[in-house]
Formats: sequence, C-alpha cells, structure tokens
Amino acid sequence: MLSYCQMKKILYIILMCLTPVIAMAQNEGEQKIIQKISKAAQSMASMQCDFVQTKHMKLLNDNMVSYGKMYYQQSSKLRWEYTSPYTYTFILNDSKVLLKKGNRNDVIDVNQNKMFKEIARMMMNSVVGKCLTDKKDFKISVAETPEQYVATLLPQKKDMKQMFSKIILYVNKRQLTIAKVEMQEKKGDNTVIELKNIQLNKNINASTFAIN
Amino acid sequence: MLRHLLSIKCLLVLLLLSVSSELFSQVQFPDKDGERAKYDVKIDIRKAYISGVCMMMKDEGIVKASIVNEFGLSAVDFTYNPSKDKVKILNVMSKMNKWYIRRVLRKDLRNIMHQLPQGIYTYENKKQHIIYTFNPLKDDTKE
Repeated sequence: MLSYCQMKKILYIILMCLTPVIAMAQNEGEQKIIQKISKAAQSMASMQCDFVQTKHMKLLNDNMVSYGKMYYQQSSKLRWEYTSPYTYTFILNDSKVLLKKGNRNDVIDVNQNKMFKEIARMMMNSVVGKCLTDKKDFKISVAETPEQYVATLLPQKKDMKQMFSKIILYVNKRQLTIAKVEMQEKKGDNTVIELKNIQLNKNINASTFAIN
Repeated sequence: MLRHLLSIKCLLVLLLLSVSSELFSQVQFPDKDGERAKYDVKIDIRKAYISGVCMMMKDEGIVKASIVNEFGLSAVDFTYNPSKDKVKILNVMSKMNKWYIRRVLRKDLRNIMHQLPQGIYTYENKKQHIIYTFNPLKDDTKE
C-alpha cells in the first residue's frame, strides 16, 4: 500500500504531466473565444441597458447599491447615467466628456487630459468587451461555464495596478455581450456592475450623447 | 365652506407629518453602535471637484467611513474616534496619496465630524480653498 507521501508525489507527477496539455488546450480555446467576443463587439452598432452597481466596502462590511442606464453607440459614444440613489451622468462623445452632477456641468477634452482619456477608453472597452484584445494593458485568461465566458484581466500598467488587482468580465454566451463586470481592488473592496435588459442595435436619439 | 377649509387643513397637517417623520427616520449621523449614515459628498478644490458617496457606521464606539466616487472607486477610508477626537486616514486613492494631502484631509475630516452631528453639512477650509459638502442621502433604492 502506498504511503500518504508517495501518493502525494505520484499525484504531483501526474499533475505536472497534465498541466502543459491543459494549458495548451486552454490557450487555443482562449484565442477563439476572445476573437468571437471581439467580432461581436465590433459588429455591435449600439447597445442600451439598465445597470446595477454594487460596491462592497470591506471596512464597513456593507454594500452600496446604485442604479442607472447605459447607452453605447459605435464607435465612441457612451452615456453612463446613475439614477438612484444619486444622479450623476458621464457622457463620452468622441473626444469630449461631459460630467453632470446637480446643476454643475463640466466638459473635458480627453485629448488634453491623459487620465480622462484612460478612464473613457477603459469604460468603453469594458462595456462592449473590446478590452479583451488589449494585451498592453492586461494579462488575460478566459474560462468557460455552460452559460458564460469568464475573462480575468490582470492589469499590467502602473496606474491600473494601483486601482485594481483584478477585473473579471462575464460574457453572455448567447448574446456575446457583457453581463457583469467585477472590479477587485487591492484593499479588499470590490465593485460589481450587472447589465440588465440589454437591447442591441436599436436607434438611440442623438441628444442622448449631446454635450452642450 | 368651513368643512372644505377643515379638510384642506387636515390634509396639510398629514402632509407635514409625513414629511417630518421621513426626515427624522433617516439617521443624520451614526451616534450609536450599529447605526449607519450615507451622504452625497462633493469636495470643491478651486476649479476642480471630487464627488461621490460617503458611508459611515459606528462600531465599538468608533465611526468608520468610506468615501467612494460615483463609479464605485474608493477615494478615502477613515475612522473617527470621538473619545480621543482623532481621525485616522486608512486609505487614500493613489493620486491623492501624498503626506500633505493626508494631513489636510485629517484636519478637515475632524472638523466635519464635529459639524455633522449638529446638522451642519458644509465645511470650508479657507486657507486651502477647499469646500466640503456632505448632504444626507436618502436611500430610496429600488430595482
């Protein structure tokens, strides 16, 4: 009879032999999945949905839940609007960003503000799934469940690393759209954004993205 | 005519009662252990501003608070010990994580923690030209 130690060694050897095969298979599969999602993102003319954002605060052991609406139009128009419990609107229209809070409206030219350019690019790419092809910013791995593709993005840039330890995108297999985004922070907080009532390729009034 | 006036008066009293009970049912500041409060926060710094939500709770005599921006990104985590009248900054977003910013924040948050229980929601740091606004946020979240 094998001792516990011997069994452990054998198991380790079996695992060592299997690992490269699994890794290879996963890499090939990953590429196909990423291509599939990117293709769907590129062919998406517009998208609108409701969202629920749940921020978990480790210090308070409590969640803050916010609700809102999102509108996206190819290739660089996005409206991200919080409706409850506070109102706040972020509109990206090509190179301009409008931030609306109460009576205050601020317009920012993203070409003149590096930080905002990054935020705008990240928001847009995460919402539609384009960030999966962004190898400069993230180290990406993809797994699969019966209903979803789960992409784990590990930030590579210093600025992003300071904010997030990990970003997980959950992609609906049938619609090939993002169903959920989970952003994990270094200090243990995390934010989950769930996209609901997704409508694809419907006409969106131009005023939705208007920056005055 | 008199009956009409009376019914209008009754309606007004009911309306006032409902508004006041709604106001008092919200916790303005966590005074007791387990109590929580939520504020809509705006920090005006000269031409720019930071906005978001501050959530507070009292736990074992200490007020714990997190300020996050609207997108859910953490800006500041701090605690306030009322018995020692001391604010401790636990985390600050990387862009603001400088010793002199932490020092200003510590002093300003201490003054804000003195004001909030009295229902004063704006604090101005005249030297640094920073205006802090903490408005109680009504939690009317519904899906």
